[in-house]
Amino acid sequence: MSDETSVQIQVRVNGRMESGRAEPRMLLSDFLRHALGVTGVHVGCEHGVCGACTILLNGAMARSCLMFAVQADGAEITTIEGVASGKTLHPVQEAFRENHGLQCGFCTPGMVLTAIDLLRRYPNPDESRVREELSGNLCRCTGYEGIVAAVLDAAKKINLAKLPSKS
Amino acid sequence: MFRPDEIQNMPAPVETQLKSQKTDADKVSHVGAGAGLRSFPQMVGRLEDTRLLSGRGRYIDDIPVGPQTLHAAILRSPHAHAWIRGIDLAPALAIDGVVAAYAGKDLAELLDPFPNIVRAAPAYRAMAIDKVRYVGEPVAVVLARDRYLAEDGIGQISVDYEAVKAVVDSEAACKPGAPLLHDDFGSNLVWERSYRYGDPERAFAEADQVVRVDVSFPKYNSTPLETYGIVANYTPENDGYEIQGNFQGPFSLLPVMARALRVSPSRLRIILPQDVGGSFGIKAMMYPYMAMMAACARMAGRPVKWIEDRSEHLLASASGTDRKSTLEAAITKDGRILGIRMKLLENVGAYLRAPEPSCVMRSLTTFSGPYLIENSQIDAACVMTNKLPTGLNRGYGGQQYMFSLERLVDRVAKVTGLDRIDVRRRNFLKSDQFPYRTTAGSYYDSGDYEGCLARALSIVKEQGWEAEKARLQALGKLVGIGLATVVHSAASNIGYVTLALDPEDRTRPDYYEKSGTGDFAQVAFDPSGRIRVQIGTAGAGQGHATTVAQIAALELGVALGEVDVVDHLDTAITPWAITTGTYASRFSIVVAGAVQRAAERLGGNIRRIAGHILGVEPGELELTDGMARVKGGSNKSISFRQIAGAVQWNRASFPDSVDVQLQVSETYGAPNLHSPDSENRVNAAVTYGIMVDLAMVEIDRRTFVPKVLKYIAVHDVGRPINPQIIRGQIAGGIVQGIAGALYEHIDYDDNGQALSASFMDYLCPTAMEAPQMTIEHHGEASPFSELGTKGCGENSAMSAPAVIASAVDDALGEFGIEIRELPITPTSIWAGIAKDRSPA
Repeated sequence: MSDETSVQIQVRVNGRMESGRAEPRMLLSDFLRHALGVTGVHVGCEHGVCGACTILLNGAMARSCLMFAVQADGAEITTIEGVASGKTLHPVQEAFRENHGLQCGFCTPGMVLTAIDLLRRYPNPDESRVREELSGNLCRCTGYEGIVAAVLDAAKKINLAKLPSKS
Repeated sequence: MFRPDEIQNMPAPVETQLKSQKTDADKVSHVGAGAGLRSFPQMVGRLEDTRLLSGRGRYIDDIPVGPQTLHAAILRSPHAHAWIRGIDLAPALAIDGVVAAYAGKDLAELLDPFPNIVRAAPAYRAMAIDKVRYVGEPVAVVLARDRYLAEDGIGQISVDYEAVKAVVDSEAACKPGAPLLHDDFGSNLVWERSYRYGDPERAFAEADQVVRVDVSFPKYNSTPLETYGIVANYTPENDGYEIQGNFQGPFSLLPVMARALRVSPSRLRIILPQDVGGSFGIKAMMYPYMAMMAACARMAGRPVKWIEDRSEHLLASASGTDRKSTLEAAITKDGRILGIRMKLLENVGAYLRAPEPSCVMRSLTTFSGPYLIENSQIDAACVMTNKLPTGLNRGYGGQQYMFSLERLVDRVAKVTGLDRIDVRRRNFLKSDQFPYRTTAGSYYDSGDYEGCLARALSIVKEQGWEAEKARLQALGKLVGIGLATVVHSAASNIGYVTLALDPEDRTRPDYYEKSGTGDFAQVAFDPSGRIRVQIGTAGAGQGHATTVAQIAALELGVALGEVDVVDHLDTAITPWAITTGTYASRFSIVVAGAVQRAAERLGGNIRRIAGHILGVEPGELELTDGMARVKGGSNKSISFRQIAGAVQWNRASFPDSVDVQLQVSETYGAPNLHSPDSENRVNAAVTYGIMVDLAMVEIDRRTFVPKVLKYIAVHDVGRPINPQIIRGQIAGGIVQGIAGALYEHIDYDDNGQALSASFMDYLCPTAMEAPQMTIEHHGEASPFSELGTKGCGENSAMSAPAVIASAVDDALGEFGIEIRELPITPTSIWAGIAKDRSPA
């Protein structure tokens, strides 16, 4: 990277302001991983098919391998590292753990973020909805069985938690 | 139907056995053989999960590298077959930030061809020198300050190619006048050998009928989501190399790399990262790149990092072989198979490289599958074509032979008019025949094939598959049900590789026999009395840490949370063996066996130490709840914490006669594995589990798009350690097998141009393509493995292609189509139907 052509970029990642320099051609996925050390962003194909690099960009799902870092200047980004609340896993993460929704863990960050986004839009998805919404993310290990079960389970638990308590 | 709660409900071992006894009362003594075994402690999720769910996995590309590290990009051949007349690296070197560039002849100063068991095979190098032989073959490498600059560099290199005619079809490559890949070798046929078991001539002479199928299995790569990654360094102080990489083993490939790098194996240190993003056999085959980057680091005098991109992976990592087979069965009128003749033509791509031709061996050693077939004649050959070289792919050779054998059995059913299920039953090995020695030498440990099939069929009934099929057919849909019954051999005997040799060669005085499989484990008490287990085999998502913790916790009487597991490998500091690695479904047998033995030995030491402190005989003590306690309701006990404390802080209180060692290593070498005999008989694996799989497939009448609706897998996994992990392994295997049958294809045009260089063209199944699955275990503890376990890792990745073909046959029954070739695509179905309808 040469100083003459690189650009200063500021992003808020998981609630913290971060800055770094990137050449205009640097992918956002590379910037997050290698300039900022946010290695939970995984790179599986670099052509937008596998979904492992999925992030939430200003609240919307995005593939960080299909964007340049300069395009994200000033954006608010959530990665897998920002999903849990302290030591407490997000209900979607917890459901993945309980339902064996992961094996090698490489697709997992993208799957979890996609599932969170899905459950925001469809709080009560049925199985076919879950499968369709996850179909932009590849998993090679699980046969998707545990993942689909995890998302359905997470929906159930999130909805239960929303019910007013009896006391 | 699919119920999320089913996922949790794979039965625990003891319950499974009891259930089997109830439903199959006459098999009690057989099925219940392991009923006395204790259940392993279970947990919700895995020890690995929180790390991986939080983005704290540490994969190869996550490991920080220093500013000295150079980043590599590889220039690859755009031609399937061409002479290299010249390479100009200078334009790359002119780029600011590019530090070095090397062509094949430069690397050859430090890097030799890789050795192969077939010594006459043409040289296989990590980088082409004079000629390229497949699209994607490495031609040059550029090292730069960052990857972007390295890519700029390869864009500037000019190569003068002289393209020549390519050949991709294995049969065409065998014909006289075919383009020759290796001119000096004089033929594309690189290896061939015949094997004969029992008395095939007699079987065919006595047959009422001979049934034949000609089948073709495709080339695919059960591609991991994480690609290859390497950080290599040269250490001049010991003239050695250090290579970090997401390599899966087998570590029998370490001496292969060391030989090519001209160092002793002890000077090649391999370090695996904590986490590996899937492997499926494919990451065994990164060894040429490991050696390439090591040589680059030495030439450049700086560490070198290379992360493969997806296109490189699909063009130039590895795949299974595509295979053409002709099978003939000698049968009786009532459907008994007396003997088999097989001709196998394996397409190994542009080079025969280690560990090929091992792709063939499962077809020899388990040629009879789950059936009582004692006679065979097998002619096997490997041919080189202008395609990506092959190697391990989950199931390694299993899917190819299971597809062909099961196609043959379905054909036998058709010819005899017997039901597909009935013909299998008639040929099955019976429960009272185990342990059973096949005529090929394999020693089948145990099995209840009939019971396993019966269980699978009862699920079909419970779920109303036939009614569902009829309902869908009434709506005008093409629907079929298929099955396969196969044997999952697990924990391979390294000696089976030597079946590639002439038996004469194995008798020469300078020949060293090869046999067995083994591994090491260390189990230790830390100073606070926590258990720490270190294994020499790194997984790639299989949950090894969790499983190891379960074994140690059960043996040592502690909670799962009291066990820490180190499950990644550094050959300089971790115990390991030449057979180490995560392949051939060996973990639950070999590594688990080593952990069990080490835990038992540590338990013995704990009892002796505690006995000394408490003044009782070691045999009076039991280990439970983190304590050594006098048996029989006594409250005389001492906690592990106190034991560890006494040994660590008060060593002088123990006489020399008490072994206070709290870090013990043990090895486990699996039984019954020997070198092949003079008749090519060898027991190729430790355990053999029956797998019964069924699928329901729907084919759209207008588009001919096939879809797998439902899948049942009932497998004998022996004594399950972690049912949830096993279930996950099988679910993943099912979809990988379906992928090979319907979607994934490393395809080339007739000129050898690659047609599947991205995920746009190489179609990995998504959640939409994955079927609803019912997965069950049916079986008993293996009598041959330390823990009673059988292998479960390759599972339906091997059987599903056969099952899907059988189901598609059934769906297309009205057109009289029988599947002989994979993948089955809308185009191939359309072509089959059009052929059926066209006038003769």
